Amino acid sequence: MNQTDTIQYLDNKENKTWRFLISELKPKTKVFTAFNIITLPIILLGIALIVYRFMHGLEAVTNLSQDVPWGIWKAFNVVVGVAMAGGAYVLVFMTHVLHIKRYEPVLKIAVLNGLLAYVFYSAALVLELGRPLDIFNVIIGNDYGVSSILFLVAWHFMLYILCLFLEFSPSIAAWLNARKMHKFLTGITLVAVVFGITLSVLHQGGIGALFLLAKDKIHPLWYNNYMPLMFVIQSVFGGLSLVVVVVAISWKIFAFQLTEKMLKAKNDILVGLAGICSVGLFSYVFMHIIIFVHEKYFAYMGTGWGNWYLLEMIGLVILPMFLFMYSYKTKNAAMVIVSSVITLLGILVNRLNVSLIAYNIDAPVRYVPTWQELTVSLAIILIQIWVFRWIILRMPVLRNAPDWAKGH
Amino acid sequence: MEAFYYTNIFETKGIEYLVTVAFFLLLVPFWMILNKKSKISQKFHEALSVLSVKRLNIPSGVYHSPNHMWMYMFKSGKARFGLDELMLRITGLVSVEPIKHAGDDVEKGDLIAIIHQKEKQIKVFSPLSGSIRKFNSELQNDTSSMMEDTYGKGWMYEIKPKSWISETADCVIAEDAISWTSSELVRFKDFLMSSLWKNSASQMAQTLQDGGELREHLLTELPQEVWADFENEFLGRPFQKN
Amino acid sequence: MYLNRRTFFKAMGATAVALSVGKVSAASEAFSDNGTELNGMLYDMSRCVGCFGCEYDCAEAHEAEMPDIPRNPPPRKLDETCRTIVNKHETSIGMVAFKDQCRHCSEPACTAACLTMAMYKTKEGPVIWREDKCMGCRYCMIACPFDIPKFEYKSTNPKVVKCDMCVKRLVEDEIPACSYFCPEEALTYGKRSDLIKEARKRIIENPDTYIDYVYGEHEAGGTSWMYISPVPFEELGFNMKIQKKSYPGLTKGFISSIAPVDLLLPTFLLGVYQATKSTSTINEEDAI
Repeated sequence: MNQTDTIQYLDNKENKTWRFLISELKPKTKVFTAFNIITLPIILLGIALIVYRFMHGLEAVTNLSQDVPWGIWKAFNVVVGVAMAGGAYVLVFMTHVLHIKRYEPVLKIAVLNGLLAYVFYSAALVLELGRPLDIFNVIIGNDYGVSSILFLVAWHFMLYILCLFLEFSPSIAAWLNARKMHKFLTGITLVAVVFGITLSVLHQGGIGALFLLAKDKIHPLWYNNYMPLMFVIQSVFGGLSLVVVVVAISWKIFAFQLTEKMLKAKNDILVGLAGICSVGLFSYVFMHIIIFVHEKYFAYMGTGWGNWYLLEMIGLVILPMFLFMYSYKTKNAAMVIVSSVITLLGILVNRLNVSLIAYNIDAPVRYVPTWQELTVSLAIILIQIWVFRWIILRMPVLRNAPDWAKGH
Repeated sequence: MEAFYYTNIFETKGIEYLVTVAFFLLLVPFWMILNKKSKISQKFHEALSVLSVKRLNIPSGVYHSPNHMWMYMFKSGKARFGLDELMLRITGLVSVEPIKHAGDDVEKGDLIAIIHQKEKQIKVFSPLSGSIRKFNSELQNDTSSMMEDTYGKGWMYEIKPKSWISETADCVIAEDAISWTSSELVRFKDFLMSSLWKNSASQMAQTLQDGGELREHLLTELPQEVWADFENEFLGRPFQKN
Repeated sequence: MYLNRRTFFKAMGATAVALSVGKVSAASEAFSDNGTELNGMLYDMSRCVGCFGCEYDCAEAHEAEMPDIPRNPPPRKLDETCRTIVNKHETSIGMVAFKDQCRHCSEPACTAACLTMAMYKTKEGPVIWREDKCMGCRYCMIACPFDIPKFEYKSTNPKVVKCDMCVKRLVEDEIPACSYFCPEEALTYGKRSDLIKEARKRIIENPDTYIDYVYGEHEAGGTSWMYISPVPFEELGFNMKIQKKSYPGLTKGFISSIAPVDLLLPTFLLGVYQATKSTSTINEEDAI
């Protein structure tokens, strides 16, 4: 790889903080790549639509209706996105609590991904609020709706973002050459880890529990009492699947930042994650079988919804489980990536079913997202990728931390 | 359920959340108190300076006994012995309480002195048999000569040995002394680790395991329990007699 | 517009209101109160003639836009411009009118769902929406089994619109506008226990007129707004599958497990951390 390393660190001695930060704002790689050219217009359009939404209300840009009050900004960006950001807490658990050294190379990137995901999904959530400025009511106590699961989810979101930020902050400190800060932050990592995992488990379950109240309104095939638990399990293998995809892509694009050793370990890491995902999927499948029997789903087989359910279960859950097992045994990294993509699709479909597609199926007008909603949704993800790229090119996420930062 | 009055099934939820928050806030100090490093290891963690064989001056012609006493036979036939440098570098400054005095006959392995450091002590056993000629009276007031000139002015006892040759058979001299001291240093580290584990100073033991070097006069900062272990396990009773 | 008949029921209603007047819009009171009885409304569909008067009165009482009801209106749904809607249904015994609005459940799903307590169940019975707290998340809409709350999507400062049992009038010792102005006395306001007795009385005294069922007595754990009907409720579009237990009870299992997980999981994690720590050796060779 010929590309020179783009990481530079702030030289504290000369105290040129502002100049350093400004120089860091300049692009570090080619500006006019295909990716940039395609995504920039979408991002700009998305931002324009967001402004328009605030100027003219939700009706102007969305197809939200009285029958279907939550659209893709909540159902997709938040409910689906949160599952995919679960890789952060699983990897943190494995590396910090269980001390499994094997996955350390992908830890930082997963934490960064989780941090950005949660921040941007919170932004998408705020977008879909009718009165976003009143969101501070939950924080300041006007009033604390403690009986509400959404209250729990909101608070855990906020605290979890804090935890993720604390877990990622050593990299920021290394970038800014703040040695004392770095030492302090690594010292409190254990606190952030323990609380982060707890908060994460609870709000992943909480997202599922949100829909418990809508018992009559979600099709029985997707509504069951175990939704919180199922959502937690989904977040485990869904998060790891996204980590697989992110690692596969970013380790290719930013390969010049990686050491030889890391590149060699890539296969091993991906295959290891595949093993964990296959176990997760296996237990998930059997949980669904239990639910199938308990709720007597035989009655729905043969109907249109029943077929859709089977398609989701067999094609997007059982199939990737076998693919993960196969790729684990044959150590085939490409197959791991394929099964990860299918798994992510399965989680997307399942959660969209619960929150949108199988919700209020008797509504006279089915909800179909407008192009504006889709654009904004996509724009949010693209902005997230841009920020992700900006950080990787400047902070020690893939690249090793500077020598003074090691050994803490 | 009789729905004629206002009920709230979640009425205690607010308080439960407060209790949970209190738990989180208290968990951190609770955990820290539980794992608080004992005073031993705290002091240990301050700068480590190195005690290594290279810094010991081991003169030739001097015998070292297994219980870390040195012995030297003068041409006149009298011998002097004292604590060797490794021992003193480990214990730090000590005071000497003589048990046997001039004119006493001792056998190898008899208790002849006790060295003290504050409330800690270690028994010193004679490496030779013979009749005690002198006790170095200087040591009664000021034992610094033991530290500064261990093998010279730091002698402890002068003795007329009975059977020098046979009794120095289990001692080392010259290059052997150096390598023996080296291995004793390693043995000391191992001993220290096990003693620290036993006395709940696991943090320090962990540092040792990671390759920390020993500080000078280490035992000065360690409590009586470690001294007792040092006496019994590390030094042992090398001269097993009746 | 319509004759105001101050009848016996108005007096009874006013007495009930006088007893219940108080902190209708007060700060949240989270503890169960066994002193104040819940008030409710009984809607007797055998008496309702479908005059739509209550729709106009409701709009006037809330200073809202007057509904535009054509001569023979098609079936209409509740939306964000109205708090109540009356639909006439052709049934086996002829025309029966059905007035739909918030049911003011005893244990409302919307109140349990609202994370800022903007949806609030007052001690006296009405479930109200408080504008100063709402952030427009619309979770109440997802939660409501009757699909009642409506949202002003068109507005940049949207409100959630639903019947609030005229709390402004209740504070002033008046009964809700719809029952006050109803010419046929189809709407009766009073204590919920009294209303159920009254409903049962009417059913027993007139077994040919009424179906022997009070809708809302047990639905969703009991609602304050109850219906008695001359025809089977299914013919009028009532959802008979609403569960007889309260909806917030569905979340009780999860909410009860929050505290145990929050307390035990950190401890468990710390334990695992400690247990696996001592066996780990820091090996510089493995550092990548």
